[in-house]
Amino acid sequence: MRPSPRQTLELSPAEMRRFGYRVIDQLVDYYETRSERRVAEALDEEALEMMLQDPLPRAGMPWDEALDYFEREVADRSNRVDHPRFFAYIPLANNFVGVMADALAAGYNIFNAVWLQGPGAAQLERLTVDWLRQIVGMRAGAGGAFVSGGSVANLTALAVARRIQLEGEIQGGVAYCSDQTHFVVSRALRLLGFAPGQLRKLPSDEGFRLSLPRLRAAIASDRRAGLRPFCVVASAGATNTGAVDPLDELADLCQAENLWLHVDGAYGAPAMLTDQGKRALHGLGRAHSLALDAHKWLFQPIECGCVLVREKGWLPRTFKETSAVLKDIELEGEELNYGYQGIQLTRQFRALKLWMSFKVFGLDAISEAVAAGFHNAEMAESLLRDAGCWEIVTPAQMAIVTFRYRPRTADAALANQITHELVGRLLEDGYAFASGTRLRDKTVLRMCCNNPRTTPEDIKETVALMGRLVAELDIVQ
Amino acid sequence: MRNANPRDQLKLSPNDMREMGYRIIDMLVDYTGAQAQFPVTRALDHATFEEILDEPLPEEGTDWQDVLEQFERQVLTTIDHLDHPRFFAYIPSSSNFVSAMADALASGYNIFNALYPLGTGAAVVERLAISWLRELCGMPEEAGGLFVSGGSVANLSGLAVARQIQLGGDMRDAVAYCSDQAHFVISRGLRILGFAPEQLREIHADKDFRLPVAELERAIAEDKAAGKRPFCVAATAGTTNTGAVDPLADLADLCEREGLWLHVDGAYGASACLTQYRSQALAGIERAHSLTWDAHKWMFQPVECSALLVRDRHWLSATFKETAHFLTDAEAHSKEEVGEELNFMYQGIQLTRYFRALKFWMSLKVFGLGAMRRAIERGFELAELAESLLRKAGKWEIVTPAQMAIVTFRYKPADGDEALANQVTEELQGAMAANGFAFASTTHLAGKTVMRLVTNNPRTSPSDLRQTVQIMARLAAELEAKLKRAEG
Repeated sequence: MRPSPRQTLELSPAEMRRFGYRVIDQLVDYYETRSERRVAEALDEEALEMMLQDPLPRAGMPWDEALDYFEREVADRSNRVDHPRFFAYIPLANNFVGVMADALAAGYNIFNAVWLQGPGAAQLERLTVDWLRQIVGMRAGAGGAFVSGGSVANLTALAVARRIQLEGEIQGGVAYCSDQTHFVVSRALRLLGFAPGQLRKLPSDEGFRLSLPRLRAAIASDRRAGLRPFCVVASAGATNTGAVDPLDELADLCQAENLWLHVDGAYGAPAMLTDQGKRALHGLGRAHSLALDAHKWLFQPIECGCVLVREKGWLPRTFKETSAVLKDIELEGEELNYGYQGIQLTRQFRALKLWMSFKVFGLDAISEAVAAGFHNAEMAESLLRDAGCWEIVTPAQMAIVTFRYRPRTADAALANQITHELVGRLLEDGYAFASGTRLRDKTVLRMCCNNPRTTPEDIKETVALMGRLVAELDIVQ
Repeated sequence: MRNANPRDQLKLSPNDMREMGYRIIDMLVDYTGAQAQFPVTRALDHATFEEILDEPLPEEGTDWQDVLEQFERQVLTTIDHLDHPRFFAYIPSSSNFVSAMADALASGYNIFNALYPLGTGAAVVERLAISWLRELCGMPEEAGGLFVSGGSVANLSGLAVARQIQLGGDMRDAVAYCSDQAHFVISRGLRILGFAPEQLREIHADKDFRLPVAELERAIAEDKAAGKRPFCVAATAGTTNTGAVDPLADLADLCEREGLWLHVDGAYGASACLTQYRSQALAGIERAHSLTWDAHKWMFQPVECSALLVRDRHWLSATFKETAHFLTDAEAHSKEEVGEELNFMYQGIQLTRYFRALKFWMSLKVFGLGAMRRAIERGFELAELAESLLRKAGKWEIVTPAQMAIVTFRYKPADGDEALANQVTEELQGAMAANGFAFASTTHLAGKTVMRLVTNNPRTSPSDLRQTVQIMARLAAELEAKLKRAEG
């Protein structure tokens, strides 16, 4: 039963090397030409329909053809979330070292769930988590784990809050957040078995932050009604505007009321590496639990989320189960058995990319790269103000600025409509991309400027382009 | 404005990128061709770990060459190689080079496969890959699914869908069922979803370690009589302990009769759908309401690569969809008819998602279904060979025969001493780890400590197995002698 290499899904060493070098060349070429490419591609629905008809491949095909096909039909048909003029949603600017770490993790197929199977990998994850703990200013004794992203980091943290704060009893529990909180928080609570009514989404204040008076009133009223307030979910960098809830005051309130403070810092927490961020995020380290996405503002390829909790023992207390197959492993190194620190057993080695990027670039360079986001957004704001045809709806904060077209007639409906249509025009144009959102009754455009490769020219040209496009739209109206 | 310093933009020069990239490819090629020459497990060296532990946050950068060297020294030399041809423990995960490169591409292009208009090509590939899996397991056309991190999340998500569709989200008095051989991630999944421990009934497995239909029926009737709401049976297609497959067709009949949801945890075994053993081993799997299928277990993908399939693709967004203003523009620009189901952020628990489908798709394209099928079937053949070698050796009691590429067995001391049989077998795992030639792990089955050989790595050779069985016999004999000396 000696099978051929193809039957054991193998390539010869020479083929592997050619394949691998070609992948590297393709990526280097992409990185060097990225800013010259379109930021977004138009849909070619016929081509996509064709792809969907592709039958199960009975026989194999040469790897270079598969790679060509991937480049043409998949890579070139994706919007470039790491493009220096992609300002939409939360841009995801990765870095080459992180990518190579992903290649290593996949190539060596490193499984980081049980300590005994890879103590070096487990220790490296613990070390990298601890670096993040130091950056966000949580106490020694806090711990955490890498997860896929903000969705699972928030879910994991809220599961811990349920276990520790409510002792697993969902009945009557109430959590609080603002209407600017990311939808993954309400999805996570729903997954955890809470009814929609058990999350109070309080109207945010004029700065789109969680309002302390409203929060106090809601907690008091729920207590009077016999409910069990247990958790406040604060945002450290809301996706809409970059607004940061008043973390230090919330920590005081939670302490006084004996509530759990969970901070969704998926986007904003890395700003702790900068002076501006430290001021904006004052009190962050007092959270009971924190979600942080290193693939958002620490420049890692997706996925690289992290959940941190004040007491590292809380994670295994929430997630540990026993099994006959893994029994021997449980005896040692509890906090290093990452299969018991969260919702996944089999886990990719996500810590490696952040560790390797920290090592190669150093914290100073990474901090500079984070700071560039603040500067770029401030510059965008000032250019928009100078242009005269925009209303700044929220000023640059945490690398995000939001704004709306200002027609000469001061017609609010027209302002909303043109701002809305601008998104589609940007997509067609392909030079730069920003996305819209709604803030109260305003349709606004957002520029999120957290890509350190964005240049001043990129921002100038983008603002100029948007000015031309809205002028055209206004004439048509 | 300021800097054009490439380091502050976290950039490497093209030369550095190419040099680092080629170096990593060379490392991986050298490794992939030579896995069998590495020891399968490593002795632990605590000093090394202390060194890693103490490292402060690095203010300054380090040359990438030095960082790679540190990675090799501190990580690579300490990890078990789950893709080693003589790693038979837990569930081995043998990967393939094409898929590792696909992961590098997904990471390098940072493809965000969550919202259709942001990654149309990627969304289509994922949809296509899911439809291939659907076709392979025989679920109906309207079935759908998505790629997730692994069995834990696939099971959690499948059970969340069951709660939404079957229970309308109301968990009170609801009861789910599985056997005591089901993987612990089923009970953890239910607990995470907010079910109380007693809302999962773990039914004692039959003598073949399968979920007994008659007992299950009785438990359901009892619970109904007590005013409870049975809603879901979680069957296993290929248990981790023994490879046992619950009687899926009978369970599907029962679920149909009783109006229950059938979730099948095929994390390990569903891949056998590709093989000639399908009709005999997995009949009925296509009748599942939800199915977990880990491609990183037995379809040779690097971790993480798993799929959740559901019978009606609309169930996913019915369970997971939420709305957000900051995404409405992109949604408005999606293609109406297909847009919804291609917005994968609404099909599961993750919003930001990496492009896991790519590796599955690319490896299937390059190797083809035929090669994939042969590679899976080889696992069955290797386990049969292992069983026959163990029988011939005369030193072993076969506790469960080769099924789904797993055989379990226990040492058979000359005097038939039960306690000694268990003890020798228990200690054999550690002895194998110390020896380093091959590694297998133990478990407990009905009072017996047994050793498991999981032979789903297609690169395992018959001679690997022969030598492994010989070494186990030698190590077990030594352990027996040692234990007897200690006693006497």
